[in-house]
Amino acid sequence: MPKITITVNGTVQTHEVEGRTLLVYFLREHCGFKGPHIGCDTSQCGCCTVHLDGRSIKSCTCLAVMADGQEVTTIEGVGSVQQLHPLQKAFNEHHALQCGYCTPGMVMQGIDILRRGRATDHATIRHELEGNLCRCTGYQNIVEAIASCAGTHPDRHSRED
Amino acid sequence: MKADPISKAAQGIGAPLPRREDLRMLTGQGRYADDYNLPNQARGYVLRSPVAHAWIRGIDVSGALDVPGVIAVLTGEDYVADGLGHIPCVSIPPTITGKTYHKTPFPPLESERVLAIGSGVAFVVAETLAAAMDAAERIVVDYEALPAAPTVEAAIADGAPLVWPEATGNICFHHELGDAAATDAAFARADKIVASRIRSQRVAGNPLEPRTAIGAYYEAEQRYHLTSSTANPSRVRLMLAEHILKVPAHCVHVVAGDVGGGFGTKGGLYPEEILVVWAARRVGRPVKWISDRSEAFLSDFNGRDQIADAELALTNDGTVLGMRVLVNHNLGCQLGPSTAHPSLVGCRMLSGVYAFPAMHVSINGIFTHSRTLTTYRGAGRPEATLVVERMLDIAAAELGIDPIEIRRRNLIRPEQMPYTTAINETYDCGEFEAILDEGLKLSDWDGFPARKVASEARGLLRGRGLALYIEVCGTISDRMDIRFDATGGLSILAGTFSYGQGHETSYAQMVHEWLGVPIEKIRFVQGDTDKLANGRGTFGSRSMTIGGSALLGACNEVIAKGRRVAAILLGCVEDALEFRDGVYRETTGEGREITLDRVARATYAWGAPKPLPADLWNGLEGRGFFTAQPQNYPNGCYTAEVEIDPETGDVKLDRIAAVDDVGNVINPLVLEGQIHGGIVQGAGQALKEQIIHDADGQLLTGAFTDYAMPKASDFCEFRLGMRAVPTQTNPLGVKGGAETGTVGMPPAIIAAIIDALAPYGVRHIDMPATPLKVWETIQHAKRAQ
Repeated sequence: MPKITITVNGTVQTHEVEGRTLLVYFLREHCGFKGPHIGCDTSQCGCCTVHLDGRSIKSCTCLAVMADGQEVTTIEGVGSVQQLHPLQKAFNEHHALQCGYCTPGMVMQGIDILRRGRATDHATIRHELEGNLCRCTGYQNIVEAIASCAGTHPDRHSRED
Repeated sequence: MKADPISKAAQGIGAPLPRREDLRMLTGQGRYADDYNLPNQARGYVLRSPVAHAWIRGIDVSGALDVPGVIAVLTGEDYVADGLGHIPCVSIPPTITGKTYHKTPFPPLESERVLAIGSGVAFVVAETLAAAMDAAERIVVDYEALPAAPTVEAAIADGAPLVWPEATGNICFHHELGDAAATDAAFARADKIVASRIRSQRVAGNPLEPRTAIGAYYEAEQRYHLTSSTANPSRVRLMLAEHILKVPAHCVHVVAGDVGGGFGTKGGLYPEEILVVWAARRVGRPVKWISDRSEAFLSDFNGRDQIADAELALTNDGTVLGMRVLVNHNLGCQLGPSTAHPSLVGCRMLSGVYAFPAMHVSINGIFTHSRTLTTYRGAGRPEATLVVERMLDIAAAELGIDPIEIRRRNLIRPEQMPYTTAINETYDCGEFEAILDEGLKLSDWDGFPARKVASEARGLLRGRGLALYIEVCGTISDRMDIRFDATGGLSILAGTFSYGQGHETSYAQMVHEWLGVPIEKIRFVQGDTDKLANGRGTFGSRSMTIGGSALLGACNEVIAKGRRVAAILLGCVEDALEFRDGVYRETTGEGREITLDRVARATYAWGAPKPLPADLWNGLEGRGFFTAQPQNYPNGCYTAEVEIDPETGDVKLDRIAAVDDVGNVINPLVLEGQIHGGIVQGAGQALKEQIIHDADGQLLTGAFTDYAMPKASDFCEFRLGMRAVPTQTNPLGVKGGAETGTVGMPPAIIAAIIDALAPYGVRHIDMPATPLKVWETIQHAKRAQ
């Protein structure tokens, strides 16, 4: 079995894996990071989204061996309970999660959207979330949480207006 | 809405407090069933039927046993040999049907006949999942295929293949409501009769966490353990103990940690929960089973799926004289715990918010060669609301009356409350016309003509639709306990079970409000049957009504017990003390006071705290029970505006406005989230989602590639409004708030689509109104014109 080394959340992880092992299983089973979730088997749901060398990918679409020598960040690596990432904080304030299962993927994708400067307006954010499913929130609060971190204040309709 | 900054004043009832459960879920520290593993754990894999209906002429497992790493291959015959029981149906109370129904055997593995695509035929236990899957491929099952009837239409046709030979016509049960003779008389004197067939298609609940179960058996203790993604651990424990394993309930321990959504479909006992505990005992090791998404499409119980043939009798001015409905509800092939619930609850709500003087409703529960039906967010109420609201729109169109006007003419008025419908449902309160007016205002109904002109200038069709809904919430009873610890911390032990609904926050807000205990000193316990005396879980928007009211009872018991302690510690009489904001105060005399915190600690003090008698040395706790008798009736007004591209049939949701009466609100942030989520699931049903079988019962929608889930880009911003008419039927004045969107949204969207297609003379379209279906409808209508 190939032995691979991936830096996960800043820590070097070296493990022997089967060639067919997907990155998401490497992270969950070999490294013990349970944040990336598995919600489908066709790469539609985005629950497993992580960052590979700083860009979001679905860790179910990537073999672990393909990430050999690279850096992976999971939800566990973006902020801590004491010091949340601004987007994690925004998700809490905007009630952008309910069951929490899609949440790690949503936050990782949201950070990627922010980094690429694509949180320009709600329609663009919605488009950028094309690969992430949420069954609970109706998406609106997720969109608002991401938008709030971009410092944008798009017109929004709500009870207050 | 964004939450207000946290302050002490902003943490009680009514405050939009950000959720306490978020912190672990946002940092990857949520604990879902797949995150657990047990020492020496083996993996299980279910071999499923590739055909919908067939005799099993033989199962040869010998090849599978040769695969390295395989520990056991279990079949339905093994299950029968071990004398274990069947999944029960607990949703057909004799008091409702008043007569017999066809009961179905429902073992976790089939040994004689498969009845639907995906039925389990063998359970492979191996060292790894890969080994189990490899072995499953080597099992040879000899199927003798039989014709199948996977849909209601197929199952009620003459000569249809029977799911159960003794259930003639594939009818499981028949039930009637209302007065047939009075309804016939109403139809006899009608100016106008309109009739239509209204379909609510089969959909998948699709919680994003696939079902997961880990079973173990501890021989020395003779105890079974199950860790499950279930949305109702107490119910699963009881069913496993009572119906399956036939052991006392204390011999079964069920734990659910964080659960990744449920929407009704995770709330009953599933075959795989049986398989893992049974296999664990058989092989002497814990066994873990995880569904992937494709397997979820095959094995999760589905929702909705009914055909209603409805007729309205009206006068020329649009007053409804009577309504007749025949419902054929697809129950699937076998009765699960909640299979009949959607039919039997939905039919109670067919009068909507209207004073229909005469009604007659017939319901047939129909067996088909498809997966078992269960509750799915709304469970019958969305189906009923679609029927009522569509029929009024169809009648309005045929009579040339405005759809708002026909509703106004038939609404139940506040002064008629409490109002008992012609099918014997008594609504306690509701101001339906006021909520209609608020809905019109919030949606800017009157601004529609200008928006329509603007759409048309861009070559797009525009339509608007409105629906009024009412539903029924608050099923049976529950129990809530609260318990102080020796340091003044407080635990809430909930009989309900939150899987996304935010109870950890909402219940803490209530206790904070009533007892003055700081939020951060409150801990929430749920989902572990060893820690809870009893519980009934969360479904049907029951938890704030029943759990909340029971929690109030528990708090009141603590206040009363604490008052006795406080009086002794202060040296006064109990009647002299008032309790407010966490402090007992003398209302007379010196005005001495003592905090509940000190009172609670005193009851735990080591050594004999001299002033307290011995019966007060053992802590401070309270138990609360509540039964919703009667239930409550949330209602509201949902509106939709759509833009349709006539060239592609694509429907764009352009405006969504929802005004709800869910009574008093505990946490508006959480409530808005529930409404948003319901809107999207309702819109998903209206526009995208459908479980489709071919004529042989093959599943054509077996993955997210084929089953269209609602996405962020499908939606506009939602406008929400609240118009509370608090109910007197529970001490909190709350009504259910978690299913409003799935109930109210579909008919509003369908009405908007039909309004947009009115230039083509279109009067009806079935859900889901996909681009293809809309385009075909337009083409068909053009040819007809």
